[in-house]
Amino acid sequence: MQLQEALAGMPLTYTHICYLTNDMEKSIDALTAMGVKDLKKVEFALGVYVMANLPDGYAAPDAAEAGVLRVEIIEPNANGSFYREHLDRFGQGLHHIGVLVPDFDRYLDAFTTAGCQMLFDMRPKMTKTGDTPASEGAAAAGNYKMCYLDCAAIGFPTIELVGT
Amino acid sequence: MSESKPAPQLRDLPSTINHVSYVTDDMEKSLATFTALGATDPVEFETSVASIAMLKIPVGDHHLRVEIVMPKGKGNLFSDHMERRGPGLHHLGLSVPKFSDYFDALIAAGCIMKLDMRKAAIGSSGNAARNQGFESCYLDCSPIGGPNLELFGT
Repeated sequence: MQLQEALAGMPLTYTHICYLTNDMEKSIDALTAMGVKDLKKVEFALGVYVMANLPDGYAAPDAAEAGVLRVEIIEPNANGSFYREHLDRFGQGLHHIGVLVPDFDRYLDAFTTAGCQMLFDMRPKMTKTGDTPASEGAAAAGNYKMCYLDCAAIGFPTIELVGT
Repeated sequence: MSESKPAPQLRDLPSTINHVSYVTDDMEKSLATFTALGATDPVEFETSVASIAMLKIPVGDHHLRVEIVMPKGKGNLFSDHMERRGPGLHHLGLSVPKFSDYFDALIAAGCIMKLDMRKAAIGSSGNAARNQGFESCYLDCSPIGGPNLELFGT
């Protein structure tokens, strides 16, 4: 398979699952009640998000070892981001899975070559005149490489791809 | 926005989120991609509403299970999701030792039953536990600000 060949031997780490909400406080209450732990709320350019650990209250038979993957809750603001558009179109729900990779450019090339579509590019892009990021996305991303890819074309969830 | 109800009272009840589910329109393609991205140990089976594959994805030194679901027919929770939203993440699997306590609390808080599989076999699955039936259901928890859940007792 094309993607398999392109990424052969390259490591990647699944980091989190994201849920889009219209009501952050309600979501925090609900997920806290379900055992999600260590919630940390952060405001950013596109809204507010919380990262937290999944519950691992007990070991169910044949269960995966939980507690090692995190859940992200995002309540987008009204700035017209792709989060806002998704929420307005489809309502609340699971949105993407986070993937951390050591060689961002190689993974991005492999994914887009395989058929994934760029949803939102948050890679820093410098202006011609200086070191100011050329887009709001770039400014929000800081100095690391990050983007969102719609991978439905290859039978995979939307990815938040982040370079280490 | 739905009417405000108190959050479910579950603080003393243990639970484990043990899988994430993805709805696809092409099982073969999804299996190939998930495998390319590190998923292992695929187990495939059939239910009355979907073809399903369970795999393990590595997370650090551990793993999480991912469930790939290809809907069958129309008018079920998976085919409805596909029609409305296309392929995408669908639910989290939540296993609990006391099903009724969890179920009652989530329903009281405002979650909506989408598919009740309690004590019912769900098809010609090769999965013995499913064929025997167990306490399981799908809940839409968006009214309380949470994801769809597949709640099942152990």
